Amino acid sequence: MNLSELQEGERAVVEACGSDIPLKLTEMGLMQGQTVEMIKRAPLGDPLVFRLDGTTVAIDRKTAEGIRVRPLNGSRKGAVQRQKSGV
Amino acid sequence: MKKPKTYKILLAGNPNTGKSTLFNILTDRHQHTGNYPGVTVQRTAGTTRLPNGTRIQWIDLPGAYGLHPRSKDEEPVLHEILGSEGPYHGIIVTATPLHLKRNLLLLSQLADLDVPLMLVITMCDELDRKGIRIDTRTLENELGIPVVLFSAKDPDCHGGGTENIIRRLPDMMRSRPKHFFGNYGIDTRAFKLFRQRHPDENPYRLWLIYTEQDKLPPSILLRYPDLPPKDKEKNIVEQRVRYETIRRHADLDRLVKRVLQRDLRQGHDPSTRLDRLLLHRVLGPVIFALVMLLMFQAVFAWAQVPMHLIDAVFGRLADWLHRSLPAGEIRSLLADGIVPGIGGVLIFVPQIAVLFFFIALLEESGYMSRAVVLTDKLLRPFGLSGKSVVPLLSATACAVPAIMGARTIDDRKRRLITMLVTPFVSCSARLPVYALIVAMVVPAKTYAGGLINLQGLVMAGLYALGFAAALGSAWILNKGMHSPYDGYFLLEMPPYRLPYFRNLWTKVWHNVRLFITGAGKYIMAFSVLIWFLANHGGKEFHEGPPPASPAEAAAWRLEHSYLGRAGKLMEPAIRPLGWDWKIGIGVLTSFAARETFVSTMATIYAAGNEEDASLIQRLRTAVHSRTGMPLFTLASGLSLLIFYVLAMQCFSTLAVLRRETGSWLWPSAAFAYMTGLAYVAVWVTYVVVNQLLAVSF
Repeated sequence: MNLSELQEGERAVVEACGSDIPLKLTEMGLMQGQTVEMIKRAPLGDPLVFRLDGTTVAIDRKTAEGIRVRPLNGSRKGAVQRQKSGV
Repeated sequence: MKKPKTYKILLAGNPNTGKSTLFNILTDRHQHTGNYPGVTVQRTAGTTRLPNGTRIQWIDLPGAYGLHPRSKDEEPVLHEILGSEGPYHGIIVTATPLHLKRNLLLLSQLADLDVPLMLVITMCDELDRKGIRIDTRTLENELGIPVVLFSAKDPDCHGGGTENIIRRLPDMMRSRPKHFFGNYGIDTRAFKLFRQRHPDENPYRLWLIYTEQDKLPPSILLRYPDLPPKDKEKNIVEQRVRYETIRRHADLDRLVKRVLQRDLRQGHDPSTRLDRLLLHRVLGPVIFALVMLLMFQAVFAWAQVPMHLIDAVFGRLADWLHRSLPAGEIRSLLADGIVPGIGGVLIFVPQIAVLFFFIALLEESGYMSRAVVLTDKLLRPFGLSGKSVVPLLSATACAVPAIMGARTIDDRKRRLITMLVTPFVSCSARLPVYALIVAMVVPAKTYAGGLINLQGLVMAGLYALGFAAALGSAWILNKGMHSPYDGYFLLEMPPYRLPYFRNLWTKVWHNVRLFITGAGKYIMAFSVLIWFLANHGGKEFHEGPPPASPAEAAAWRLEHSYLGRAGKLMEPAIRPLGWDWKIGIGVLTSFAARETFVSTMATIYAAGNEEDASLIQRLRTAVHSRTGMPLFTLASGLSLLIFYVLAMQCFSTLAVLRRETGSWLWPSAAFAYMTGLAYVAVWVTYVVVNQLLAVSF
């Protein structure tokens, strides 16, 4: 799944970044193996706010979709909800 | 070599690391703002004089995450560091305890350039509060540079005052930063060749010049005529740059783990909890609306008190000059040209100060970036960024700083659109014109028991029209400008912090000064020019009026002045709008700054009135110079209002657009578009309102 699919409060580990993600994001520390936490979706659904290495960063949805993540088990009810709905 | 008496030291660092706060404290008020050539990023310099006579010149570089620029506005940092603005003696890098690893990325790149460095860890008052311990001794050894703790809020904690930074400057000059880049084995075919041709040069410097060659100024490129083009291996270069960044992070991660101990008992970040509230689906927008409401309330109500005071003082001063000086050119110039001109500049200072106080408060507290996140989705269909909110809102004070404020937008297209539509937003210079005309032609009716005021409704409508014109035009521009590269949105949201008073004050002062020295000089000069044009004319004017009553003589003089002639010349163009040449003059003079419409009207109608009537009373009794009907009717008043909402009539705005876009193309286009739109809208308004009135009576 990708970064934009995380539920609010859910944490995940970055597995791979698309080759076209902004370099600035890499400079901020978003890279393979890094843990991220989804904090909040903006009221209109975009951008998305993440916690990354002690910093809060807002990223537009499209960019977030280019980042593959593996959710950390039990980090939140979001994962449970997803299992229930069979996604 | 003899020791230079002035040392030039650059301040570099990530955004939100307290770099500008440190700069403000180091330089106190001895600052000077300029621009980097070609781009629109501000270059701020300041000086400190040490007790022993040595002068230190500090340069506050724009915030940057790394040295590889990925937008136009990030380029000046690399340019200056590579020496485009001349040699320097060292670089101070700022970092915060909480984000040390990420902040050190830039430092590691600078270390590879063999530049004398010092690391200043700011906000060190947070160390104890957050349960963090930093082993600065080990950090110094590992980096090979002095490391100093600093706090703006609490200079006593960990000896965090500026004196430590000054004291360690000699250590900085002697520092030999340890390298990172050499271990990464980064190479490409073309770069290898380039490197072999310059064996004596710093390899990381060569790497930056090779990878960023398309973003460097000629002053640097000319030194490397043998620079191989990177087009052939563009993708490889991009990959290598990312690899470089990842390797640095890995190295710094190990380093920071050794020197920084964190008390993990600390609970969840309080900023995150606040974000959940302030970005809440329902509460977020409500709180945002309340904050904006408070800001408008402050700008348009609280600022009134000092404004009235300034108005009264300059009115008295002009009266006093009239009474105490002998009649003649000098008295006329002073009392009718210069004094009202100065007053006309200063009257806007309260509004600008209050607005920028609020903007600074929003930025310093960290809320501004949340406001941007809240509104980004809403503005994106118009080709604007969430960051456009700042310029669009600050344009309610003045388009000039607002257009400059668009610099925060990384994406060039969005930035250009923001700059082009910002002048539609009703600025404070339009407010006096609105106030005058609304008071004159709109009845002072109230509804709902005095709660709603018709004049207030019309005022609100004018502001709404301005915003609508801005958004509509942005939408059209967005459709018209094809850009294959659709900018991404990436914004670091700083932790919520109590604003630091000194920064608020600096920001307010900076913008007030910008207004007075920027727009203020035009207003002042124009006030005098108008005075001249209204009081002088050709040969006929100097021969004097035919014998008549004093009022008629004054009217004759005005009509035959240079000003009157210019207004008459353009009368055929404005007659369909219900205006006569006197309004024509007012509109012409507004081009310097819109509020001069009011002073022009005052000048024109002061010339014809001996008695002490107020400007509004004088204008109410004015008649159209051709038809003899009342000049300010609902139709002509509304048409004039709409003209002032839509037309581009501000030389300062055009000048700043020229500077920010780099050519006269965009300012000319904006002028033609806005004024053309205004003319059509005004004509339609005049005709429609007249028809409606004819029907209803």
